[in-house]
Amino acid sequence: MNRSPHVLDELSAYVDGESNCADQIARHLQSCPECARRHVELLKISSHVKALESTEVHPAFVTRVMAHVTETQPAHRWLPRLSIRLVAALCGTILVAAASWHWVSPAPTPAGVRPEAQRVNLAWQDDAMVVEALSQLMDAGLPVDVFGALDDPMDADVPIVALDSVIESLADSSAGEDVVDPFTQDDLIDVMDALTGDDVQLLNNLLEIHENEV
Amino acid sequence: MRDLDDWALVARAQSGDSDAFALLVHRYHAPLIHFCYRMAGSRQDAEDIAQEVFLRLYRYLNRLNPQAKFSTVLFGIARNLTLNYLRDMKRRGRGRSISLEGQPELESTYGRPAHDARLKEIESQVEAAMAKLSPEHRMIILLREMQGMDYDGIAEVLQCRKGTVKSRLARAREHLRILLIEQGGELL
Repeated sequence: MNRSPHVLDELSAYVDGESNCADQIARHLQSCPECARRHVELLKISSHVKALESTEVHPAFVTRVMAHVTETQPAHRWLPRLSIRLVAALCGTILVAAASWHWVSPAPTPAGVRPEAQRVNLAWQDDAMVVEALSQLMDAGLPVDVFGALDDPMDADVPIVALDSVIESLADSSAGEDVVDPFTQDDLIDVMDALTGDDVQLLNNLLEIHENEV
Repeated sequence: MRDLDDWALVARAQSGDSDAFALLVHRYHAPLIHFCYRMAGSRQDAEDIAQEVFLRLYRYLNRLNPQAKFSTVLFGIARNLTLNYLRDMKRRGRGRSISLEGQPELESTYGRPAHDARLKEIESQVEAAMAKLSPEHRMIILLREMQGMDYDGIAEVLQCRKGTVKSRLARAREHLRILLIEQGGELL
C-alpha cells in the first residue's frame, strides 16, 4: 500500500498518541515514503507551534483581577438549569425575529446562500425541530445575512459554534430591536453561561448528526 | 494552601476564601493569557479577556461542581469569550488586522529579551500561518499544542464529541501545513 488516505487522515491522532490503530500505522510508515514524510511534517508543525513564545504578562495582572473580584459577588444558584424546552423557546424567538427581519427589510443575498434557505419551520413539536431549524438557519446563511454573527456560513465548523452565535446575536438584537421582549441582555448572558452542560451537548450531538448526514 | 488541588481551592473560594481564588488566578493566568493572546492577537485585549474569564468564573463560582479537569471549565469560558471577541472585531471592521501577522504586538511592553533572528523568523512565519486559520481551527491547535490537552479535555472545552476533536484537529493541521507550504515550505 503506497498511498492510503485513511492513514493520512489518522496521522494527526497518531502523533498525539490518540489513534486506535497505532501499531498498524507504525508498520505502514515503515513502508510508505509519502505517509512517512507527512508524519515528519506533522511532527515539525507540532514542534513549531509549541515553540511559539509565551506571552509575557503584566506583573500586576493578578492584583488587578483580585481588585475586581472583591467588587463582585458570586451569583447564587437562583437560575434554574435550562431545559431543552427553554432552549427551543429561545431558538423559536430567534427564528421569528430572523424571518420577520428578513421579510420586513430584506438584505442583499450573500453569495453561496441557497434560495430555499429562507423557509424556516416554526411549527416544531419536539427537540429535533430545534436542530432542524438551526440547521436551516445555517443552510440559509441567515445568521450572516440577518445577524451578521457567523464568520463564514460555508465553514465546516459553523455548526459547532452556531448555538453560541445565534444566542449571542439575540443578545445583540435585544439592544436595539423589539424582538426579544421577554429577555434582557443580562438574562441572555446568564443563558449563555448556563448553556455548558447536557443541553449544549445534546444540541451539538444532534447538529453533528445533521452535519454528517449532509 | 498551595498544595491543594484546583477543586479544593474552588471549594474554599465558594466559602468566601478570596486567597484561594487568588491562588487559582495565579495558577492559571499565564497559560490563559497566552491562549487568549494567540487567539486575539493583541496582548492588551488578551489580558482583558483573561480578566473577564476569571471574573465570570468568580461570578458563577457557586454553580461550579467538581467535574473533569478544572482547566476545561476555565478554557471553556475562554473559548466563548475569545470567539465573541473575534466576532465583535469583525463587526467593527478590525478583523484580521489585529492578528499577529505583521507582528505589531510582538514587541514586548514588559521587556522581552531579543531573540535570535532565525528563531524569530520561524516564529513569524508560523504566526502568520496560524493567523490565517479559522478561529475554530486556531483554537483547537492551541488547546492541543500549547495547552497540551488530550482529546477528552478538548472535547469538554469545545462541547463536542471526541471524534469531532480528532477530525477537526486533523483538518486544522492539514490547513496549517498547506499554509506553511504556500509560504515556501522551508519550515517543513
